[in-house]
Amino acid sequence: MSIRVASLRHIYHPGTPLETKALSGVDLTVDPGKWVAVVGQTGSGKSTLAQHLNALLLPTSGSVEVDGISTTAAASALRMVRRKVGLVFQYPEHQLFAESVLEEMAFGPRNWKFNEEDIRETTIRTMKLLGLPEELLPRSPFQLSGGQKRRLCIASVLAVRPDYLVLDEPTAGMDAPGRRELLGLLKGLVKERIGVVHITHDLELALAMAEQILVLEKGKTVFCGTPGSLMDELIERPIRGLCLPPILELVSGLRDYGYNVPFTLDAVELADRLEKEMRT
Amino acid sequence: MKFLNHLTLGQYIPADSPVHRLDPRCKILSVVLLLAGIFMMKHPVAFIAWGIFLLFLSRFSRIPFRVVIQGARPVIILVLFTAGIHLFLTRGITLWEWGPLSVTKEGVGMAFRMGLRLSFLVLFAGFLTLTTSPMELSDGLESLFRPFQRFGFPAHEMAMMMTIALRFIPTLFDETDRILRAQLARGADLDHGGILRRMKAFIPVLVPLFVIVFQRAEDLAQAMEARCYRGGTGRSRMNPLRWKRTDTFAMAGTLVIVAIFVLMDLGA
Repeated sequence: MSIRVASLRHIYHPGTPLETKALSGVDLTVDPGKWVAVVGQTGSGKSTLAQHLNALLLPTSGSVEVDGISTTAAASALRMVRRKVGLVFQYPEHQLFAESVLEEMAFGPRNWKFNEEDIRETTIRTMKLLGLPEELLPRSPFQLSGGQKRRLCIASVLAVRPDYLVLDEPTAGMDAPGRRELLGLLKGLVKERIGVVHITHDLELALAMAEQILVLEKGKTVFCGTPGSLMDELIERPIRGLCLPPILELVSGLRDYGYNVPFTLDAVELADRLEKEMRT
Repeated sequence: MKFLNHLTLGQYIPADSPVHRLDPRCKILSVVLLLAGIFMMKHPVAFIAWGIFLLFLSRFSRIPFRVVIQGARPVIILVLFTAGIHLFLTRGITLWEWGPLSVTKEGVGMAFRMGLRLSFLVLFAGFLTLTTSPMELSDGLESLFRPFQRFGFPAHEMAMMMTIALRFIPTLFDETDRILRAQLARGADLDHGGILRRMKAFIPVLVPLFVIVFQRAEDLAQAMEARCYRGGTGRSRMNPLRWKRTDTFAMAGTLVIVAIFVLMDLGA
């Protein structure tokens, strides 16, 4: 049971002057309970990939399979796939519409014909998962703070209990504490056996969160592997479309000067090692 | 998968042609003349003449004829409906009868005439938007309506409103597309059930869209204010409209063509 993307290609507006190759041959596997990050710059095709994972876009060639169901199989399969794979768009707070938080949360479950009694219970459970108190239920979603809105949108997608969650830049436009809090909460999902696909342009976030990283550049895979091996690669040679996070830039500079410091994203650890190095 | 197709009515096709280079005021006035002429056409010969003129215009403005015809697609139903009404409701010599419906010889003629007249109206009017950018168009309208300002007609404000509206059509299309996708991802079912259910299914798309529209309007107002926009008084422009000699020629040419067509029609 997993999402399997095999040699996926997608061309927008084929046969017109606007024809663009968004993806050319991408492979990816997402297992339940795993955090996979897709990293790339604007225009690398990462949002296009995200929409393939829940059948909003269909492959020009290649295949996308969710737990053995191909998105190109039949129209009924599309809804199955969308039920299994929750997709949270960039700036999801633009999709809020309901009169109350409860109604907003119930939108998904009702679309999938959940039991009315179940809805309230799942709603409260899911909201707790994302740190939203029960008191918010009767409030208008438009009255919430920015961070709360973002978490509500993610919760509303999670309310239908998908097996996979695709997040397109979930922390876009958030401040550092809000970002840390949200990612901490999302990390909890992995423990619930949900497979998370995290689309981001921020390599540092990906390195810190993911168990596997796919790097896209102009629709092509330039790297696929664990954060550790990606860091090793980055030390050896620059990867197209990626620049080192500031802290790794610093480490690499220090190493050039002969300090034996490890590649780490943890500033405290780096400081400790550096102190030791300087003493000796 | 594409959920929304952009409107073809009122699309601008950039090209370098004598028609594109004309002053927008000249084009607006010419189109008004042409439309008046089309309203008067009756005789089959006149229809052929207008049709040839249409082909010629398409050649001259370097707009493929296929694109010109496409522009009329949104009004096909209206044309067919009008033609149908005339076909069945015109009195005269009966050709064919079925229950309360009867088709007369005059009806057939009327249906053809009205259908073609309507299509020609749309096709000729289409040339205005096909060859004039929205900016030029609203500049031209503003300039043409300026004399009425002294009677309290808000020419500048109207033109500005038009520019803004046209500017935001593609943006809002994109927004709608995005919201649509987001709600589909949440399991919205937009194409099943009766008409009432389907209309209700669009609420989750429309509400966020309205929120975004108001938000954008506010942002735009603030941005304009920050740039000291105070309406039309004393406002200069980067590309002032200039009436050239070619515009006078084009205007005169249109006048002559329309006059010939109308006289031909009356004579025949």
